[in-house]
Amino acid sequence: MILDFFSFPIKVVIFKKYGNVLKPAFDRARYERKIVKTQDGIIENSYLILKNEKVKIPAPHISFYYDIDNTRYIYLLQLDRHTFYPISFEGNKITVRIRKNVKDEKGNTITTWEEIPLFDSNIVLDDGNLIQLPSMIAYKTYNKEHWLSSEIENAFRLYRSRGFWEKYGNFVVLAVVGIILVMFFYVGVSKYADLTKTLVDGLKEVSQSMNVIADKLSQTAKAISGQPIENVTKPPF
Amino acid sequence: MMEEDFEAVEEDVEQISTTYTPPSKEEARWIFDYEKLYWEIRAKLMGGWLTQNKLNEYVIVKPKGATPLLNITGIEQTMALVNGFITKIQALTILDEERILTLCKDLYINLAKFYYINMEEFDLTPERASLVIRIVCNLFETNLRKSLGGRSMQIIGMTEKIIETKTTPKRRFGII
Repeated sequence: MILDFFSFPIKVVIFKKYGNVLKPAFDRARYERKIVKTQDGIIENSYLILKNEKVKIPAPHISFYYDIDNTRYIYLLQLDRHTFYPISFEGNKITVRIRKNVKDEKGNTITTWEEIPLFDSNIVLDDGNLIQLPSMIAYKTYNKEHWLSSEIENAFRLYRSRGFWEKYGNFVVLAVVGIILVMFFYVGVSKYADLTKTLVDGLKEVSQSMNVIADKLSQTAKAISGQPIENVTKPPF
Repeated sequence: MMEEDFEAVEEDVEQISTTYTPPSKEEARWIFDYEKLYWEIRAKLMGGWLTQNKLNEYVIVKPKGATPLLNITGIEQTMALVNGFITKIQALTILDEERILTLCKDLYINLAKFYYINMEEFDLTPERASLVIRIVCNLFETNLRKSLGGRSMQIIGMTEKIIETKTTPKRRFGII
Protein backbone atom coordinates (compact mmCIF):
# COMPACT_ATOMS: atom_id res chain seq x y z
CA MET A 1 0.00 0.00 0.00
CA ILE A 2 2.75 2.44 0.96
CA LEU A 3 4.70 1.63 -2.19
CA ASP A 4 1.54 2.15 -4.26
CA PHE A 5 1.06 5.53 -2.70
CA PHE A 6 4.56 6.62 -3.67
CA SER A 7 4.63 5.12 -7.18
CA PHE A 8 1.07 6.15 -8.13
CA PRO A 9 0.32 9.23 -6.03
CA ILE A 10 -2.66 10.58 -8.00
CA LYS A 11 -6.12 9.22 -7.20
CA VAL A 12 -8.34 8.78 -10.25
CA VAL A 13 -12.09 8.45 -10.51
CA ILE A 14 -13.10 7.09 -13.90
CA PHE A 15 -16.68 7.36 -15.12
CA LYS A 16 -17.14 4.48 -17.52
CA LYS A 17 -19.85 4.83 -20.11
CA TYR A 18 -22.20 1.85 -20.47
CA GLY A 19 -25.16 2.82 -22.65
CA ASN A 20 -26.91 5.64 -20.78
CA VAL A 21 -25.27 4.81 -17.45
CA LEU A 22 -22.04 6.10 -16.00
CA LYS A 23 -20.27 3.63 -13.73
CA PRO A 24 -17.58 5.06 -11.46
CA ALA A 25 -14.34 3.12 -11.04
CA PHE A 26 -11.37 3.99 -8.86
CA ASP A 27 -7.80 3.91 -10.00
CA ARG A 28 -4.38 5.35 -9.27
CA ALA A 29 -2.14 7.23 -11.65
CA ARG A 30 1.38 8.44 -12.09
CA TYR A 31 2.63 11.49 -14.00
CA GLU A 32 5.51 10.85 -16.35
CA ARG A 33 7.53 13.21 -18.51
CA LYS A 34 9.27 11.60 -21.42
CA ILE A 35 11.90 13.01 -23.76
CA VAL A 36 12.44 11.54 -27.22
CA LYS A 37 15.64 12.59 -28.95
CA THR A 38 15.56 13.01 -32.71
CA GLN A 39 18.02 14.35 -35.25
CA ASP A 40 16.08 17.60 -35.47
CA GLY A 41 15.68 18.14 -31.76
CA ILE A 42 13.89 16.88 -28.70
CA ILE A 43 10.20 16.02 -28.34
CA GLU A 44 9.05 16.43 -24.79
CA ASN A 45 5.75 14.91 -23.74
CA SER A 46 3.99 14.25 -20.48
CA TYR A 47 1.77 11.25 -19.83
CA LEU A 48 -0.62 9.99 -17.21
CA ILE A 49 -0.16 6.29 -16.54
CA LEU A 50 -3.25 4.60 -15.11
CA LYS A 51 -2.36 1.66 -12.88
CA ASN A 52 -5.38 -0.65 -13.13
CA GLU A 53 -6.40 0.32 -16.65
CA LYS A 54 -2.78 -0.14 -17.84
CA VAL A 55 -3.10 2.77 -20.24
CA LYS A 56 -0.78 5.66 -21.00
CA ILE A 57 -2.72 8.78 -21.99
CA PRO A 58 -1.53 12.30 -22.75
CA ALA A 59 -1.48 14.16 -19.45
CA PRO A 60 -4.46 16.50 -18.96
CA HIS A 61 -3.83 20.16 -18.20
CA ILE A 62 -2.97 21.11 -14.60
CA SER A 63 -6.36 22.82 -14.19
CA PHE A 64 -8.08 19.39 -14.19
CA TYR A 65 -6.42 18.25 -10.97
CA TYR A 66 -8.20 18.77 -7.64
CA ASP A 67 -6.60 18.79 -4.20
CA ILE A 68 -8.90 17.05 -1.72
CA ASP A 69 -7.53 16.29 1.79
CA ASN A 70 -3.97 16.84 0.61
CA THR A 71 -4.36 14.20 -2.12
CA ARG A 72 -4.44 14.96 -5.77
CA TYR A 73 -7.58 13.80 -7.59
CA ILE A 74 -8.47 13.68 -11.25
CA TYR A 75 -11.84 12.79 -12.76
CA LEU A 76 -11.98 11.14 -16.17
CA LEU A 77 -14.72 10.09 -18.55
CA GLN A 78 -13.94 6.86 -20.39
CA LEU A 79 -15.56 6.25 -23.76
CA ASP A 80 -13.51 3.32 -25.07
CA ARG A 81 -10.36 1.43 -24.18
CA HIS A 82 -7.98 4.30 -24.89
CA THR A 83 -10.23 7.38 -24.89
CA PHE A 84 -10.31 9.36 -21.67
CA TYR A 85 -11.57 12.90 -21.26
CA PRO A 86 -10.91 14.93 -18.12
CA ILE A 87 -14.02 16.20 -16.33
CA SER A 88 -14.15 19.63 -14.81
CA PHE A 89 -16.49 20.95 -12.13
CA GLU A 90 -17.26 24.63 -12.44
CA GLY A 91 -20.16 26.10 -10.48
CA ASN A 92 -23.22 23.94 -11.07
CA LYS A 93 -21.93 22.52 -14.33
CA ILE A 94 -20.11 19.24 -14.87
CA THR A 95 -18.42 19.41 -18.23
CA VAL A 96 -16.01 17.51 -20.43
CA ARG A 97 -13.46 19.61 -22.20
CA ILE A 98 -12.35 18.34 -25.58
CA ARG A 99 -9.33 19.51 -27.50
CA LYS A 100 -10.26 20.72 -30.95
CA ASN A 101 -8.22 22.04 -33.86
CA VAL A 102 -9.78 25.10 -35.50
CA LYS A 103 -8.49 27.00 -38.49
CA ASP A 104 -8.29 30.78 -38.16
CA GLU A 105 -8.70 33.40 -40.91
CA LYS A 106 -5.11 33.00 -42.09
CA GLY A 107 -5.51 29.25 -42.38
CA ASN A 108 -3.34 28.38 -39.36
CA THR A 109 -4.57 25.67 -37.02
CA ILE A 110 -5.21 26.66 -33.42
CA THR A 111 -6.00 24.18 -30.67
CA THR A 112 -8.93 25.22 -28.55
CA TRP A 113 -10.85 23.62 -25.71
CA GLU A 114 -14.49 22.87 -26.31
CA GLU A 115 -16.72 22.39 -23.28
CA ILE A 116 -19.46 19.77 -23.50
CA PRO A 117 -21.98 19.21 -20.68
CA LEU A 118 -21.73 15.67 -19.35
CA PHE A 119 -25.34 14.92 -18.44
CA ASP A 120 -26.85 16.25 -21.62
CA SER A 121 -26.53 13.39 -24.05
CA ASN A 122 -27.29 15.58 -27.06
CA ILE A 123 -24.35 17.62 -28.24
CA VAL A 124 -24.79 20.44 -30.71
CA LEU A 125 -21.95 20.74 -33.16
CA ASP A 126 -20.77 23.89 -34.93
CA ASP A 127 -22.56 22.91 -38.14
CA GLY A 128 -25.87 22.51 -36.29
CA ASN A 129 -25.96 18.70 -36.24
CA LEU A 130 -26.99 16.85 -33.10
CA ILE A 131 -24.87 13.93 -31.99
CA GLN A 132 -25.12 11.56 -29.04
CA LEU A 133 -22.37 11.32 -26.45
CA PRO A 134 -21.07 7.89 -27.54
CA SER A 135 -20.57 9.15 -31.09
CA MET A 136 -18.11 11.68 -29.75
CA ILE A 137 -15.44 9.06 -30.48
CA ALA A 138 -15.70 9.87 -34.17
CA TYR A 139 -15.13 13.55 -33.45
CA LYS A 140 -12.24 13.17 -31.06
CA THR A 141 -9.07 14.95 -32.00
CA TYR A 142 -5.72 13.38 -31.42
CA ASN A 143 -2.65 14.84 -29.92
CA LYS A 144 -0.33 14.93 -32.90
CA GLU A 145 2.80 15.47 -30.80
CA HIS A 146 1.91 12.38 -28.82
CA TRP A 147 1.52 10.44 -32.07
CA LEU A 148 4.88 11.60 -33.45
CA SER A 149 6.83 10.82 -30.30
CA SER A 150 5.21 7.38 -30.04
CA GLU A 151 6.03 6.68 -33.70
CA ILE A 152 9.68 7.65 -33.18
CA GLU A 153 9.79 5.43 -30.09
CA ASN A 154 8.32 2.64 -32.24
CA ALA A 155 11.04 3.13 -34.85
CA PHE A 156 13.74 2.84 -32.19
CA ARG A 157 12.08 -0.25 -30.76
CA LEU A 158 11.41 -2.01 -34.07
CA TYR A 159 14.77 -1.37 -35.69
CA ARG A 160 17.09 -1.51 -32.72
CA SER A 161 20.35 -3.31 -33.29
CA ARG A 162 21.17 -6.22 -31.05
CA GLY A 163 23.58 -5.54 -28.22
CA PHE A 164 26.62 -7.55 -27.17
CA TRP A 165 24.73 -9.79 -24.73
CA GLU A 166 21.94 -10.47 -27.25
CA LYS A 167 24.49 -11.45 -29.90
CA TYR A 168 27.01 -13.43 -27.87
CA GLY A 169 25.23 -13.92 -24.54
CA ASN A 170 24.37 -17.57 -25.22
CA PHE A 171 27.94 -18.44 -26.15
CA VAL A 172 29.35 -16.67 -23.10
CA VAL A 173 26.92 -18.43 -20.75
CA LEU A 174 27.67 -21.80 -22.39
CA ALA A 175 31.42 -21.22 -22.08
CA VAL A 176 31.15 -20.23 -18.41
CA VAL A 177 28.95 -23.23 -17.61
CA GLY A 178 31.39 -25.49 -19.48
CA ILE A 179 34.37 -24.13 -17.52
CA ILE A 180 32.51 -24.57 -14.21
CA LEU A 181 31.56 -28.14 -15.17
CA VAL A 182 35.18 -28.97 -16.09
CA MET A 183 36.34 -27.50 -12.80
CA PHE A 184 33.85 -29.56 -10.83
CA PHE A 185 34.83 -32.68 -12.79
CA TYR A 186 38.54 -32.05 -12.17
CA VAL A 187 38.00 -31.47 -8.45
CA GLY A 188 35.77 -34.52 -8.21
CA VAL A 189 38.27 -36.78 -10.02
CA SER A 190 41.22 -35.57 -7.90
CA LYS A 191 39.24 -36.08 -4.70
CA TYR A 192 38.23 -39.57 -5.86
CA ALA A 193 41.88 -40.38 -6.64
CA ASP A 194 42.94 -39.19 -3.14
CA LEU A 195 40.22 -41.27 -1.52
CA THR A 196 41.14 -44.44 -3.44
CA LYS A 197 44.81 -43.86 -2.64
CA THR A 198 44.10 -43.70 1.10
CA LEU A 199 41.87 -46.77 0.83
CA VAL A 200 44.58 -48.77 -0.97
CA ASP A 201 47.14 -47.67 1.62
CA GLY A 202 44.83 -48.78 4.41
CA LEU A 203 44.24 -52.13 2.75
CA LYS A 204 48.00 -52.57 2.32
CA GLU A 205 48.50 -51.89 6.03
CA VAL A 206 45.76 -54.37 6.90
CA SER A 207 47.33 -57.03 4.69
CA GLN A 208 50.76 -56.40 6.25
CA SER A 209 49.34 -56.69 9.77
CA MET A 210 47.61 -59.90 8.69
CA ASN A 211 51.01 -61.26 7.61
CA VAL A 212 52.47 -60.30 10.99
CA ILE A 213 49.59 -62.02 12.79
CA ALA A 214 50.10 -65.11 10.64
CA ASP A 215 53.81 -65.17 11.57
CA LYS A 216 52.99 -64.83 15.25
CA LEU A 217 50.44 -67.58 15.04
CA SER A 218 52.89 -69.91 13.29
CA GLN A 219 55.49 -69.15 15.96
CA THR A 220 53.03 -69.89 18.78
CA ALA A 221 52.10 -73.10 17.02
CA LYS A 222 55.79 -74.01 16.85
CA ALA A 223 56.21 -73.17 20.56
CA ILE A 224 53.32 -75.37 21.49
CA SER A 225 54.64 -78.25 19.44
CA GLY A 226 58.13 -77.85 21.06
CA GLN A 227 59.97 -76.56 18.00
CA PRO A 228 62.55 -73.69 18.39
CA ILE A 229 61.13 -70.17 18.05
CA GLU A 230 62.90 -67.60 15.84
CA ASN A 231 63.23 -63.91 16.87
CA VAL A 232 60.74 -63.84 19.65
CA THR A 233 60.24 -60.25 20.77
CA LYS A 234 59.38 -59.50 24.28
CA PRO A 235 56.14 -57.66 24.94
CA PRO A 236 56.56 -53.98 26.01
CA PHE A 237 55.01 -54.55 29.46
CA MET B 1 -9.67 -18.73 -63.92
CA MET B 2 -11.59 -18.66 -67.24
CA GLU B 3 -10.99 -15.85 -69.70
CA GLU B 4 -14.63 -14.71 -69.41
CA ASP B 5 -14.29 -14.41 -65.66
CA PHE B 6 -11.18 -12.32 -66.09
CA GLU B 7 -13.06 -9.97 -68.41
CA ALA B 8 -15.90 -9.74 -65.88
CA VAL B 9 -13.42 -8.75 -63.19
CA GLU B 10 -11.84 -6.21 -65.53
CA GLU B 11 -15.16 -4.38 -65.79
CA ASP B 12 -15.31 -3.78 -62.03
CA VAL B 13 -11.82 -2.50 -61.64
CA GLU B 14 -9.94 0.55 -62.71
CA GLN B 15 -6.56 0.04 -64.40
CA ILE B 16 -3.64 2.42 -64.15
CA SER B 17 -0.79 1.63 -66.53
CA THR B 18 2.75 1.84 -65.20
CA THR B 19 4.65 1.58 -68.55
CA TYR B 20 6.97 -0.83 -66.91
CA THR B 21 7.74 -4.40 -68.00
CA PRO B 22 9.53 -6.96 -65.87
CA PRO B 23 12.95 -8.25 -66.99
CA SER B 24 12.79 -11.05 -69.55
CA LYS B 25 13.48 -14.69 -68.72
CA GLU B 26 16.83 -14.55 -70.49
CA GLU B 27 18.02 -11.91 -68.07
CA ALA B 28 19.13 -13.78 -64.98
CA ARG B 29 19.66 -10.47 -63.23
CA TRP B 30 16.09 -10.10 -61.95
CA ILE B 31 17.59 -9.23 -58.64
CA PHE B 32 18.21 -5.69 -59.90
CA ASP B 33 14.48 -5.31 -60.39
CA TYR B 34 14.16 -2.50 -57.89
CA GLU B 35 11.43 -0.71 -59.85
CA LYS B 36 8.92 -3.36 -58.87
CA LEU B 37 9.25 -2.31 -55.25
CA TYR B 38 8.50 1.28 -56.18
CA TRP B 39 5.32 0.33 -58.07
CA GLU B 40 4.27 -2.17 -55.43
CA ILE B 41 4.40 0.46 -52.68
CA ARG B 42 2.53 2.86 -54.92
CA ALA B 43 -0.18 0.29 -55.71
CA LYS B 44 -0.65 -0.53 -52.03
CA LEU B 45 -0.94 3.13 -51.07
CA MET B 46 -3.52 3.66 -53.83
CA GLY B 47 -5.63 0.86 -52.35
CA GLY B 48 -4.99 -1.55 -55.20
CA TRP B 49 -2.55 -4.25 -56.25
CA LEU B 50 0.05 -4.89 -58.94
CA THR B 51 -0.63 -7.36 -61.78
CA GLN B 52 0.54 -8.00 -65.34
CA ASN B 53 -1.61 -7.50 -68.43
CA LYS B 54 -1.54 -9.41 -71.71
CA LEU B 55 1.35 -7.26 -73.01
CA ASN B 56 3.42 -8.40 -69.99
CA GLU B 57 3.32 -4.90 -68.55
CA TYR B 58 2.70 -4.22 -64.91
CA VAL B 59 -0.68 -2.63 -64.19
CA ILE B 60 -2.04 -1.22 -60.96
CA VAL B 61 -5.54 -2.56 -60.48
CA LYS B 62 -7.91 -1.12 -57.93
CA PRO B 63 -11.64 -1.51 -57.35
CA LYS B 64 -13.72 1.32 -58.77
CA GLY B 65 -14.55 3.93 -56.15
CA ALA B 66 -11.97 2.61 -53.67
CA THR B 67 -10.57 5.39 -51.52
CA PRO B 68 -6.82 5.32 -51.05
CA LEU B 69 -5.16 5.63 -47.65
CA LEU B 70 -4.04 9.17 -48.46
CA ASN B 71 -4.79 11.61 -51.25
CA ILE B 72 -2.90 11.77 -54.55
CA THR B 73 -0.60 14.60 -53.39
CA GLY B 74 0.34 12.53 -50.39
CA ILE B 75 1.04 9.47 -52.52
CA GLU B 76 3.17 11.45 -54.98
CA GLN B 77 5.21 13.08 -52.23
CA THR B 78 5.59 9.84 -50.28
CA MET B 79 6.83 8.08 -53.38
CA ALA B 80 9.28 10.91 -54.03
CA LEU B 81 10.63 10.45 -50.51
CA VAL B 82 10.76 6.65 -50.78
CA ASN B 83 12.41 6.83 -54.20
CA GLY B 84 15.31 8.64 -52.59
CA PHE B 85 15.93 5.57 -50.45
CA ILE B 86 15.71 3.01 -53.31
CA THR B 87 18.57 2.54 -55.75
CA LYS B 88 19.60 -0.04 -58.30
CA ILE B 89 22.98 -0.44 -56.63
CA GLN B 90 21.41 -1.63 -53.38
CA ALA B 91 21.29 -5.18 -54.74
CA LEU B 92 25.03 -5.13 -55.43
CA THR B 93 26.08 -3.86 -52.04
CA ILE B 94 27.11 -5.89 -49.04
CA LEU B 95 25.17 -4.69 -46.03
CA ASP B 96 25.27 -5.97 -42.50
CA GLU B 97 22.13 -6.22 -40.39
CA GLU B 98 22.92 -3.18 -38.31
CA ARG B 99 23.20 -0.96 -41.38
CA ILE B 100 19.87 -2.25 -42.75
CA LEU B 101 18.18 -1.51 -39.43
CA THR B 102 19.65 1.99 -39.40
CA LEU B 103 18.39 2.70 -42.93
CA CYS B 104 14.92 1.41 -42.05
CA LYS B 105 14.83 3.45 -38.87
CA ASP B 106 15.87 6.51 -40.85
CA LEU B 107 13.06 6.10 -43.37
CA TYR B 108 10.53 5.36 -40.61
CA ILE B 109 11.39 8.51 -38.64
CA ASN B 110 11.55 10.67 -41.77
CA LEU B 111 8.13 9.47 -42.90
CA ALA B 112 6.66 10.06 -39.43
CA LYS B 113 7.96 13.63 -39.39
CA PHE B 114 6.83 14.19 -42.97
CA TYR B 115 3.27 13.09 -42.16
CA TYR B 116 3.28 15.05 -38.92
CA ILE B 117 3.93 18.25 -40.85
CA ASN B 118 1.60 17.52 -43.78
CA MET B 119 -1.15 15.52 -42.09
CA GLU B 120 -4.01 17.83 -43.05
CA GLU B 121 -2.67 18.44 -46.54
CA PHE B 122 -2.48 14.70 -47.27
CA ASP B 123 -5.95 14.03 -45.84
CA LEU B 124 -4.46 11.73 -43.21
CA THR B 125 -5.34 10.77 -39.66
CA PRO B 126 -2.74 9.50 -37.17
CA GLU B 127 -4.01 5.90 -37.37
CA ARG B 128 -3.88 5.84 -41.14
CA ALA B 129 -0.47 7.55 -41.11
CA SER B 130 0.87 4.79 -38.82
CA LEU B 131 -0.52 2.19 -41.23
CA VAL B 132 1.07 3.85 -44.28
CA ILE B 133 4.44 4.04 -42.52
CA ARG B 134 4.28 0.35 -41.64
CA ILE B 135 3.34 -0.67 -45.21
CA VAL B 136 6.22 1.31 -46.71
CA CYS B 137 8.80 0.23 -44.13
CA ASN B 138 7.89 -3.47 -44.29
CA LEU B 139 8.38 -3.58 -48.06
CA PHE B 140 11.53 -1.47 -47.85
CA GLU B 141 13.09 -3.70 -45.19
CA THR B 142 12.35 -6.93 -47.06
CA ASN B 143 13.89 -5.43 -50.21
CA LEU B 144 17.03 -4.37 -48.34
CA ARG B 145 17.45 -7.77 -46.75
CA LYS B 146 18.25 -9.15 -50.23
CA SER B 147 21.71 -7.64 -49.87
CA LEU B 148 22.33 -8.88 -46.33
CA GLY B 149 25.91 -10.10 -46.33
CA GLY B 150 26.04 -9.80 -50.15
CA ARG B 151 23.48 -12.58 -50.60
CA SER B 152 22.19 -11.22 -53.92
CA MET B 153 25.71 -11.26 -55.33
CA GLN B 154 26.05 -14.90 -54.27
CA ILE B 155 22.78 -15.69 -56.09
CA ILE B 156 24.07 -14.01 -59.24
CA GLY B 157 27.25 -16.08 -59.01
CA MET B 158 25.20 -19.25 -58.59
CA THR B 159 23.04 -18.56 -61.64
CA GLU B 160 26.15 -17.90 -63.74
CA LYS B 161 27.64 -21.22 -62.64
CA ILE B 162 24.42 -23.06 -63.56
CA ILE B 163 24.45 -21.49 -67.03
CA GLU B 164 28.10 -22.49 -67.50
CA THR B 165 27.52 -26.09 -66.47
CA LYS B 166 24.54 -26.36 -68.80
CA THR B 167 26.38 -24.96 -71.81
CA THR B 168 29.64 -26.91 -71.45
CA PRO B 169 29.05 -30.72 -71.86
CA LYS B 170 30.84 -33.01 -69.41
CA ARG B 171 33.77 -35.12 -70.63
CA ARG B 172 33.20 -38.75 -69.81
CA PHE B 173 36.66 -40.28 -70.21
CA GLY B 174 39.29 -37.78 -69.11
CA ILE B 175 40.65 -36.03 -72.18
CA ILE B 176 38.08 -37.42 -74.65
